[in-house]
Amino acid sequence: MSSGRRIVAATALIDALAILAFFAFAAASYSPARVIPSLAMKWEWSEAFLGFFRWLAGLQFLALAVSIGSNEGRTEDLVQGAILPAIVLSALLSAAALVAVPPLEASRSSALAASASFNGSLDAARRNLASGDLELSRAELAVCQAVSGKDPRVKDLDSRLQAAEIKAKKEALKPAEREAPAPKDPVAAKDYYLKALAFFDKGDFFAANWYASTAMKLDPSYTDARRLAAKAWDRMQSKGPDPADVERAAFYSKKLEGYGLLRAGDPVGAYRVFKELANAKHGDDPDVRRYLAEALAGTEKSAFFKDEAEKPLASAYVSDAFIRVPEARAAKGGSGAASNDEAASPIEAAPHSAVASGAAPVRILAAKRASLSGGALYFSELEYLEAGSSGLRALVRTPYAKLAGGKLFLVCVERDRPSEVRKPTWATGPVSGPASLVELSLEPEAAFKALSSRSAPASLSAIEAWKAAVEAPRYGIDPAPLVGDLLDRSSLPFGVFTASALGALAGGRFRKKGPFSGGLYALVPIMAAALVPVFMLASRVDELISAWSAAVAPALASLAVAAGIRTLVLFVAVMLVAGARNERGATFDR
Amino acid sequence: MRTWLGVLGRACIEFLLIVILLSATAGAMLSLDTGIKNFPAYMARAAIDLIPLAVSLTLFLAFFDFELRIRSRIAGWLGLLILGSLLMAGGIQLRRMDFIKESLPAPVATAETPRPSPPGLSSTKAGITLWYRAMENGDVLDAVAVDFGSDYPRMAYSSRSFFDPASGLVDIGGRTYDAARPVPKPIRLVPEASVFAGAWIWDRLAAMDREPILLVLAAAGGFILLALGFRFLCRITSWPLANAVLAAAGFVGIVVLDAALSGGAASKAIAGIARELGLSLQPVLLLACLEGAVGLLLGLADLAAAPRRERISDE
Repeated sequence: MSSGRRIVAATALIDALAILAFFAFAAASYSPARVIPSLAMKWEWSEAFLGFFRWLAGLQFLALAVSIGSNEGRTEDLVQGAILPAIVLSALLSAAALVAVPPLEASRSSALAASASFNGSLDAARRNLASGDLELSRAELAVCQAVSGKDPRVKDLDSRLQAAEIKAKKEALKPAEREAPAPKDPVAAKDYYLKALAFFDKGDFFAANWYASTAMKLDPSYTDARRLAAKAWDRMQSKGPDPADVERAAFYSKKLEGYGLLRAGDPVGAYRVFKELANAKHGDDPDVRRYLAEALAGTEKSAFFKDEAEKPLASAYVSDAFIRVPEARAAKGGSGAASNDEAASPIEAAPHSAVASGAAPVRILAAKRASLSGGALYFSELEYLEAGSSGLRALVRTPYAKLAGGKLFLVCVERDRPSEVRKPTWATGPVSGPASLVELSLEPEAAFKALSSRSAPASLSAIEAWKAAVEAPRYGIDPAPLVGDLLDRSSLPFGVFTASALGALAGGRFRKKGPFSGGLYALVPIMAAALVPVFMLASRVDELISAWSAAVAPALASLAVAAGIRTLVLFVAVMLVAGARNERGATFDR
Repeated sequence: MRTWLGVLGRACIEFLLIVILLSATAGAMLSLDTGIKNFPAYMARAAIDLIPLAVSLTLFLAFFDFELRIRSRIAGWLGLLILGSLLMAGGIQLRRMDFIKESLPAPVATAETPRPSPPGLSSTKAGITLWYRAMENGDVLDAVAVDFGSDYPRMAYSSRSFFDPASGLVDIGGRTYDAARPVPKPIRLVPEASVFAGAWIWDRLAAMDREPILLVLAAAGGFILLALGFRFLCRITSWPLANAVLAAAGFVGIVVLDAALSGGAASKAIAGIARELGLSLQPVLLLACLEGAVGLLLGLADLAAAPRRERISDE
């Protein structure tokens, strides 16, 4: 076999074995407490390939050394024959590493994050079930279901929770709650009575009954209303002895309630009512369909649904998110005009401010988690702060938030249980505009990339990382970790090429005299193990080059310094290979 | 004889290259901790300090040259012993010249006063992220702190807070936060060294600068004999490449073994055995004797081993 073919075959074989070995190691070190079973395979393969790329330079050294060191012929011929395949292989593997490592890092991080989220929520759900807090337990279980609904632990807990919920419902039905009397309001009662009259005249006895009954509730002494309600009820009854009329009346009154809320500018409340009706087998009613759609559209303009946020925030997220809204893009609105309100502790309001000294207002977003999904950026445990000329202008906190279309939505609704609404708490502000959202001209994708560059720079592609390093200061993010990551990445191609050159040199210099016995290949695993400390030491020297370059040159210029030092090392290695020849006594195979 | 001298000369050149590489690495590491401007001086200092390491590395490289070119193993052994002794003795003598040491600054980690983290950029320490817009007359303006490790809510804000230059702390909302620039994690080439109590050979020899020269030479000699004892690694299998790789791992192993024997339980055990045998030697000499004896035994076994059939003649 020619020198070139041997190199390709040895590289393919050693790399494949290395990937399998790393996979076996990942499988052996797997623990369900760290990674949930449904993500185990994803995590193991990510670990295997990341390990392979991390040790790529060492593997290239071994492959080149073994393929040349077990070949026959003159050293210079072997080394010359190795040049082209070594260069092509090194270039291909380096390119593969640069392209594949960021998605692999992202995959591994997301598997770990989702597992941490799953395990945390499963523990919390169990704890809450044991303590009898079924609602919280259900909420935590929903997070687990969003991550891995098929997990047997989730199914088991779900059935236990369902049983507890049924039991709790039965117990709740026993003591019938008495409705609290509504406050007396004769003026409103009169209005409702007049509406009832109008409906009665039109022959709409259901509506007349509902409005008259409402007037009666508002003013129990209103005898006309009582009379009209009874009259409308009689007329309904007189139309035919239909036992479904009572149900129809209740349905109608509910529909009117939803309509009233919708017209009063409460789409979230209206959505809750119409959703209940749709769920109660009235989904075919044209009014319900129409107003549910209208309420949904209205809700989506001022709030968002929790299920949109739940899955991304449980699986692929950035934790401990902190970002400054860039000045130029933040100029659009903010949460309103300046406020002189004193903020609650630990917020200090003081006369000195950003704008007073000529600086742009400060807008900061911080959240426990942030996740990008469907073009929107979702947050959990969000805090938003805005400081202007009079000190603190706005400070709001909300359990869930969504950034999309230039707005930061602060109200979150449960789609299937619309009565569950998570609302923001304003410590300061808003002075103008609705309390349910903040106008914020911040691109979700750009913001998420900035957040990722802060917490997981390795998951960004090389181009994205470069752009992020340039953009980071605008978002209040220190570019140093990004530059450090770029320094590490840029070392890989140099490392692979240098290792290939040194491997060829070692293989050429330490070749066996005479025919090569196939049994000697059994030594290759031992050689690989023996090279581990040497490779680790070389890796640390490489890290030192990165750190030293970062210390001597500012930000991105350090990449040029590191590249210069590594090029010098590569040059020396290539010179040594170029000088390899079959000189007398230089090899074992004279 | 000419070949023998040629191999020795080549080894001396390799020694110089190794010293340059090692000292550049060590100088870079030391200057990273204490100031980049000191790099040349630290490199020169490290060149003197790391001579024992460079000598042992040179010996391992020379194993192969002697194996290839010198037929007589005794001549090879003698050449390696002379090479190691000369280089090590020269290095020790260089260390003991006071004017050289005095002209080079010793790397001392200086306790720097805390510098505030750069304005406009967030910095995170122990789960707490801190950001401030600008600094004015010793105060940080529009400071925001978020303690992600605490319960929600976490954000604190202050429009102006005093930055204490002595402690690097700022007060935001009644709580102090560390606003000093984070110190980068130091890079250690062999962090695994912390698992055992011993010291590297070069550190031990450096600490003996004021000790009698014979004691220092004995300590160095023991180490050289131990290293020479592992010459068998250069022909342990019939595949030279495998031997080279095993020798590289063996070299790391010898350096670690020497350090492990020099301290902790191993040192006490050696002293205990010596007492049992009635030897009342200093710990340094005991270790040197042990290492020398192991090296000589391995060397004798190597010499006694039958030469390979495909033995190469040197001329």
